[in-house]
Amino acid sequence: MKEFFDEFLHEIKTPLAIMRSHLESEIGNERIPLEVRQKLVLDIEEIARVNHLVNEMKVIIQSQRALPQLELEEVSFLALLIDVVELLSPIAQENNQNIELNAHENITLVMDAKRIKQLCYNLINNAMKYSSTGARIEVSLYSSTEGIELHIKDNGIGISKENQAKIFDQFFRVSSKKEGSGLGLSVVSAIVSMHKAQMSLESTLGKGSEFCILFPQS
Amino acid sequence: MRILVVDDEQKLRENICTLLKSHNYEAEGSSSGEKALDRLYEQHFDLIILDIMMEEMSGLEMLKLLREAQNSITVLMLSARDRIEDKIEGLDIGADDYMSKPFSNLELLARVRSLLRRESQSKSVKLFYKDLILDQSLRSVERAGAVLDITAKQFKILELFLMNRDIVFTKLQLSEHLWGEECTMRSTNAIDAHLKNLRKKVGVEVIETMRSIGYICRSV
Ligand SMILES: Nc1ncnc2c1ncn2[C@@H]1O[C@H](COP(=O)(O)OP(=O)(O)OP(=O)(O)O)[C@@H](O)[C@H]1O
Ligand SMILES: [Mg+2]
Repeated sequence: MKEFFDEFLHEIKTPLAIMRSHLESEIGNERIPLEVRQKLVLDIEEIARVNHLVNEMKVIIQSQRALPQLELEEVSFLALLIDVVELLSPIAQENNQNIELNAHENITLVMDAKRIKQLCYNLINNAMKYSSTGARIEVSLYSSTEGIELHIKDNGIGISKENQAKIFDQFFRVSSKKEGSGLGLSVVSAIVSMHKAQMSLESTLGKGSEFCILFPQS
Repeated sequence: MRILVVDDEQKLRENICTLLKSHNYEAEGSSSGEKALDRLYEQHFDLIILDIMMEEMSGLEMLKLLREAQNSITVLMLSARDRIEDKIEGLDIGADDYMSKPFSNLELLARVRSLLRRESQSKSVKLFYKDLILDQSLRSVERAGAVLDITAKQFKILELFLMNRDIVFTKLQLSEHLWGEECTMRSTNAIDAHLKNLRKKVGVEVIETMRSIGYICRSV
């Protein structure tokens, strides 16, 4: 069954990649009217969206394996966080939000960097998405006696006790006001478990949320 | 630069060749390992793009034969899946790099470029746009003689544009190039901001906006 899923997802990704590459090669073709090419760009983004969903499913399925395939390397955690914050800060600025990064400089962790980047991206992106303009998002990283702790805290809309238990479920969303598929946090928990880390959540409706991830010290 | 693309899947082989040709490489396809070995006898190539999974002779077998014959040509391996075993075996036998299918055009071009650059032994390579000079080995950018204060990401975007004149890049391609596939969804808007900052530093005329399509750097 599991093998079947791998095969299946791969069979979806291949035609997507072919379609995308065909469309991309026409983007600069000046014999095609500009309006048509503008539509092609939107089509490419849709293809990428499906591909992204497939990738998310892949991570979730992977995490349920006894031996998930990780590409482990020792990485500077701060550098990785700076990278993600650099990507998201222009969007934050547009919404007058402020991402504050407090991290100990010398923390390294043996991790699958791509996956951890995705985890950080999903959590910081959520913090921004579910907060109003002018919000403050705090990202902190430090090592404690228990391991390496990553905290992502917002003063946004918060999550009710009842929903806190559900938000990690696949496709669950509290409301559909904002764009999204409801897979982001499932991917986060999958990545957490693949790294043998632990995640906790503290949140108060109307006040804000704090996601905390504890990585075992390597 | 001459590249030999070895893959028994015709569609993919032709796709890769077309892509490479449109980026001014000389590319040629081979449908099997045997044919490829024959071609390598007759003609000098700078790089082989080699599929692992082929019907008759597998890519790994072909690579083994090549290396046994003391041929040290640069080889980029392709495999059907993220199979770490294949990757390790390929690199053990002497592949220079490895990529799993499916991959994006940009990813392939980036690998090819970096492999070919490695091959020409990191001579100081400079890219020019009017009075703008980008030094790939020093990783610095100068404009009218003054060194610009530029971030690593900005360098990476500028390098991409200067190396690929007259080619349109979409925001999606740019954000994947900079941050990878994992964190690009819904953040293509951020790319506009990053490009705006870059253009402020290097001069707005270097990178042109094509509305609702992307960005382009034209040859001067
Ligand atoms: N920081 C947060 N503050 C308040 N609510 C949140 C926060 N993070 C997540 N949620 C709630 O949990 C739900 C699930 O989050 P999740 O990231 O899995 O999906 P999503 O953000 O809706 O979509 P996507 O798949 O694009 O991430 C969200 O729809 C939102 O209702
Ligand atoms: Mg989300």
